[in-house]
Amino acid sequence: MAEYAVELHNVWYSHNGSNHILKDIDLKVKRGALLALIGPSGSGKTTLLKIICRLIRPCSGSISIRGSNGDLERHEVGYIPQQLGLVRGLTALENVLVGAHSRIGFAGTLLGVFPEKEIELAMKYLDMAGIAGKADKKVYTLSGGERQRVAIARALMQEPEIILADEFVSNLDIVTAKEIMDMMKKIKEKDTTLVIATHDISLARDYCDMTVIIKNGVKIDEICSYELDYDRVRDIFT
Amino acid sequence: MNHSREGFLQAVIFSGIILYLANSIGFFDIDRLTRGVSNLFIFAADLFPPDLSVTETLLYSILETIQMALMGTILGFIAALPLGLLGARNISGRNISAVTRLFLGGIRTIPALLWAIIFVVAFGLGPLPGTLGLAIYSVGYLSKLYYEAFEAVDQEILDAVRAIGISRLKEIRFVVLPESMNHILSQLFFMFEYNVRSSAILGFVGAGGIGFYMINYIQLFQYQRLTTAVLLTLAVVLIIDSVSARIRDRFLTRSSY
Ligand SMILES: Nc1ncnc2c1ncn2[C@@H]1O[C@H](COP(=O)(O)OP(=O)(O)OP(=O)(O)O)[C@@H](O)[C@H]1O
Ligand SMILES: [Mg+2]
Repeated sequence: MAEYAVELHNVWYSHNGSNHILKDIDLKVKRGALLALIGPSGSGKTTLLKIICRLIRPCSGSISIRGSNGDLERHEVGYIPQQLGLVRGLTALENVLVGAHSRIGFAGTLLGVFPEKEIELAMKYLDMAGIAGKADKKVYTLSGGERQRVAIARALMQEPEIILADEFVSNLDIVTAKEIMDMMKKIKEKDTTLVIATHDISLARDYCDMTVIIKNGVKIDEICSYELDYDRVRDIFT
Repeated sequence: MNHSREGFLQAVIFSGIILYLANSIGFFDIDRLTRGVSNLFIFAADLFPPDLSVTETLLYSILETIQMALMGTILGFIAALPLGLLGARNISGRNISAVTRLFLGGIRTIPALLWAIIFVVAFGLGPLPGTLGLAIYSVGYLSKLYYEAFEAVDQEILDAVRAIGISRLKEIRFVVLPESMNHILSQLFFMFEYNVRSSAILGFVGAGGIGFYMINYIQLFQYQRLTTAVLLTLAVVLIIDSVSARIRDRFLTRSSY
């Protein structure tokens, strides 16, 4: 088995052919690691995550996910976007069930009928995310923190090897943020690899194994998270 | 100063153009205007009192008008959903959407009345050609409104589910349609209201509904009956507008986010 869950090599990306947003990124994430991607606004964190889950293609460079560089199934990478990307008019449960779609056919689901065991699984993950009590609530009626839990449950529902989370807990209060990060740590124990983009240095230091710092699309440092301190990163954000 | 002189010049040129247009249309032909206005008064006097003896016949035909509007809207809706999806760039890609939009644009350049005439020629008189005319016209408009609604679906939501590897059909079923349901329904109601209003006139070309009676009364100089038809149409349009607006409002406040 491959040692690394994610490997990027010399990745360049640009939206228009010039103006590179990511410049020559090399990145290796160990299996089962929790990696923080920190950098100021506009540094390219979201873009990098989109490249890892192959929503966009780099202009050049190579990506391999668990040692394979093309033919692996999309659903092995779960992606939680910055605004969560939940379908607001569906219930929490229905949103989580969307995560199961790579496993189930179309016929029954067209009418919204899902296999019993997928519903059980969805409830299990909603429960794990601490939001099972609101499974039947439409997402637009949920609070920010509750939505975050639903998005996590949806990512878990894919049963992915890797979860990418963008600005994960940045707009939550400290207590909720801690709860959710503790939950992520528990998920990590199942050998799931986590990559979290964030502005929050203390979050990276307290929870992550490694921290990769990017600025203006360039990876400028990669350190063990416990070495992270404000002096070291102050100049990055200024 | 220079500035105000320029402004003055512009004003003169602008009023000159307007006066020229007004003249060429005939607004300064005093004889014709006075004749026209006095004719209007004579005509208005002829309109009253309304002849209520035809109310029953007219009620039947107005029912036909509503039926045409309803069927036309439903048929249009059924075709507009898939065409709207094909026209949305974020769903079917640049090329397919460009072709679809060209096709829909073509449909929209022909007004409903002209479609009705085409179908009367093809299928003969009656509500069938009228309904088809309304349906085609609705397809042109609803599809445009729909692809715009579909393109407004948040890109992040599409990203999140595309990363899951969901198929395009499921993406439509579980993301695109639920996300744009509000728009889909409110535009459907709008289209129905519009079709009720425009279906009244389709009868002028023999395409069924109350317009058929209106044009007959005009041709036979039975203006008092015409008044009854116009008043009935007005009443029905007002009722449908308000009922439809109420249903729409209730639905939208219930599911707004
Ligand atoms: N669709 C796009 N077209 C052109 N430029 C883009 C596009 N998306 C992002 N960019 C640019 O790419 C750069 C990196 O954006 P990205 O979203 O990856 O930053 P980020 O690190 O996630 O920032 P934040 O912390 O604010 O979320 C920014 O300068 C942004 O303006
Ligand atoms: Mg970002």
